Amino acid sequence: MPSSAANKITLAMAIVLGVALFLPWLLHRNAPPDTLLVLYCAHDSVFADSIIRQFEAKTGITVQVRYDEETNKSLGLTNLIISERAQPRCDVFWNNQTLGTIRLKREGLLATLDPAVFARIPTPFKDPDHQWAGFAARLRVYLVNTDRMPASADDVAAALQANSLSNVAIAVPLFGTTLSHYAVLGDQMGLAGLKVWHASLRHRGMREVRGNAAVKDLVAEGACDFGFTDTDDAFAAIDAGKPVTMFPVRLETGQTICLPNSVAMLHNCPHPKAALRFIEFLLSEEVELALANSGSRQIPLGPVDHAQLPTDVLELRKWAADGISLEGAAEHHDEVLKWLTSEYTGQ
Amino acid sequence: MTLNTSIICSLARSVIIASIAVWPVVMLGAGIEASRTIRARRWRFLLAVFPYFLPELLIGFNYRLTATLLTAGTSPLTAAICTEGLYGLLMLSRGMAVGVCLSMLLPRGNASAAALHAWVLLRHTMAAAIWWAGWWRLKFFGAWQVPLVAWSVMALVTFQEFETAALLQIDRAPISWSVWLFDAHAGGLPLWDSLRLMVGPVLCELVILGPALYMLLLRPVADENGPVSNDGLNARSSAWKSVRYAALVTPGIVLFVLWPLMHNFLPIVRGGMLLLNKATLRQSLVEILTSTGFAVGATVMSLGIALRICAAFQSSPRAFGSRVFWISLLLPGLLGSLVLSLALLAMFQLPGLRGLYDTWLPLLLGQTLAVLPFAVAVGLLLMRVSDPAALHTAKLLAVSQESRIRRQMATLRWRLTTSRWLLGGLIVAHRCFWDVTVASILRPVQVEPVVTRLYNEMHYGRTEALLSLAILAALTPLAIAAAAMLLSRLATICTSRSSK
Repeated sequence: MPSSAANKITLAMAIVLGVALFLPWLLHRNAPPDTLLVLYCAHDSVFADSIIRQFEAKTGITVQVRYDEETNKSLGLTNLIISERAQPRCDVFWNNQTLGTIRLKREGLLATLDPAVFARIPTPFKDPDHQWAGFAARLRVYLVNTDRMPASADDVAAALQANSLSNVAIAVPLFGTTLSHYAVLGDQMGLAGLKVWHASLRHRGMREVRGNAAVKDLVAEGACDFGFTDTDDAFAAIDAGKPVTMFPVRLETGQTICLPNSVAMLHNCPHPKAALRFIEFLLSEEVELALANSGSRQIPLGPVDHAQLPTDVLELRKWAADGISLEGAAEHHDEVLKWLTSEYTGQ
Repeated sequence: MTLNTSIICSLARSVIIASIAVWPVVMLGAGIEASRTIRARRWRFLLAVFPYFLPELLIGFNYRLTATLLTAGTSPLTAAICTEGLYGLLMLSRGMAVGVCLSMLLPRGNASAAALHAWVLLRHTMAAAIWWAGWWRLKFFGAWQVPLVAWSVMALVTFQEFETAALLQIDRAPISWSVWLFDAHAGGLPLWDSLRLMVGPVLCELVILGPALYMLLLRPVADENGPVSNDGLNARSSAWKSVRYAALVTPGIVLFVLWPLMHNFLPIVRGGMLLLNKATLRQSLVEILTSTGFAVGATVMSLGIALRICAAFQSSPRAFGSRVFWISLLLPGLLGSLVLSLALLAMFQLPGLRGLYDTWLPLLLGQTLAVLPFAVAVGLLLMRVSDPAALHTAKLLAVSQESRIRRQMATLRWRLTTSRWLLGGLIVAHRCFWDVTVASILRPVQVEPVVTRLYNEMHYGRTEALLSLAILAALTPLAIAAAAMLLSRLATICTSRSSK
């Protein structure tokens, strides 16, 4: 290589490195610390984005958001927060369920807040040590294709007893709300019972796909009769005009699996004042109503004006009232994940 | 399913696909060279290589539903065969595109058919072992040279694939080691265990790359080889070759262009209108330009390092230690995006480097290292196809008194140097742009590359605006590259006018 060409290349590389190192500093050097917030958000950006922009408009605080990806929902951000424990970058973690947040609490990574911040949220949905609170929940549901089978909860229950489940779909339970579903079952049946149940599903040929959205697609397009998914995915199919309906997954006790979003502030986070303001905003009636009226139809957990809720959500609130406590599931989470990892990877 | 089983399945698939693809690649190459005009040759080349430029992410999303419909109401075994078949077909088309690209860039072997014939005539004049060694050598560096290098790279591309396999997977098929590793990480696999487990896949990759490394590293480079043969342009065009070309290129065009367009054309148009009418267009463009900026930066870095690696091989052919050092720089890229990104994440958490964690450096470094092996391959290819004699002639004529000659020679020099490197850069940048794993793990919080946003939102019903955004994201870097080529060409011509 001629030396002139080598010099040009070295110069170009130096410029690239210089830009990567100094441009972010130049862009943010004048920003006061109280006007910036770093948010890790596992809720879908389609729905979370407008809420965050509302907060920015209201407070003048700039929110830098890091979203999660569908296939590793919430596990990715939970692991990231743990790996950043020495120097937290994140101020607030908006998780789309609670189990990962409880794991962070156990790791000692969450800040304890004034109980007044969580006052609006009912006791079953918040941490007794005031480190996190739940809000705006989803439910685990059966999504049924009404062109392919009769649409009633009894028909679904009967179909689950059939010898072949090749027309039934579930997401790989290593991630997301399906993992939470398994953790709840692990709490209810014990690990041995869960293993038998899982083996029975697999033995009878239940379709396993990657993610609840894939389950929704299978059912909505008529490739499967029904599947296990969440209410927000089910509404995506319903809103698209697909021939589907849904029923809540009920445990043997008759209880449903209600999975709230959760929010927490990180211990030693860089922008605690802005973080507190965001948490207060997120747990407000205004935000719960906005999420209830969004495409994902999240179920408000705190008191809200019922007249402002859509009909769909009023129905969901009845199902959510039967929701099981997730404390037991949180205790079984690690044990269930360890077994599933061994089941799926041989590790 | 253990890691070993998934490695064996992935290896078997990549070997089978590359071995099948190598024949059509040779035929497609012949079909391209049989074109009557340079313009027809370019079009044939573009059609053949197009499937490579459609990102794995978009292919996965587009065919996820097809996979589910294929498996509807079937037994688990049939479902696995259907999914594996569809995935294999997609990988075959993609592999063929890569193979054609290589076959057109690589010089033909040094040993001609006449040399081989002469060697065959000498069969009884020497010991059998010596004769066979010579025969293999003539074959290896003759007719088999291009197919062997193409085979290696096609097998590697198939072996490393992750996104499409993950998105198509139903009942754990298609089986892929890259998906296995992702699942193991979700279950909390420690980083050091990941690095230990990566020994197997990296060894497989080195074995797969063996023929290409042998050809590209141990053989003399550039000036001892002539340029790509242009015999095909002058020879009588063969109708049979053209028909065969059309038959072979059609499946790729159907799978990667027509079928996705047929299913998504109206949503894309409607989504385009939505996108244009929304204030989100600005945000989308910022995200696309962010991705483009990082891709360009990583391309400059990786090609810069790649050229130094290539230069080290040229200048010190016998220095074993030096070669080992330079090859060791390729290892992080061979580990795959997931393990590389997690390793960098851990590295930037160390006390001495923590201050750099929230800069743009981790993402830039991740993309650079991830794409480095590919950049070295591109660099070696570009150096081999350079034509020093033509370049020297152009340089001599560039100082002509006649302005018309100076301008033409400047254009020629541009074609022989800048345009080729810009094209090579485009290929490398395309890989950086669409690498979702590195971007999602290492991106700083201040910026969002478009690929992570697409990946995050696309599952949500494949909305029309997102489809349009995906198309916009795919086209913008190409438009920027086209503009860069045009500007550099104009600059070259302007410079030739002013200089005398």
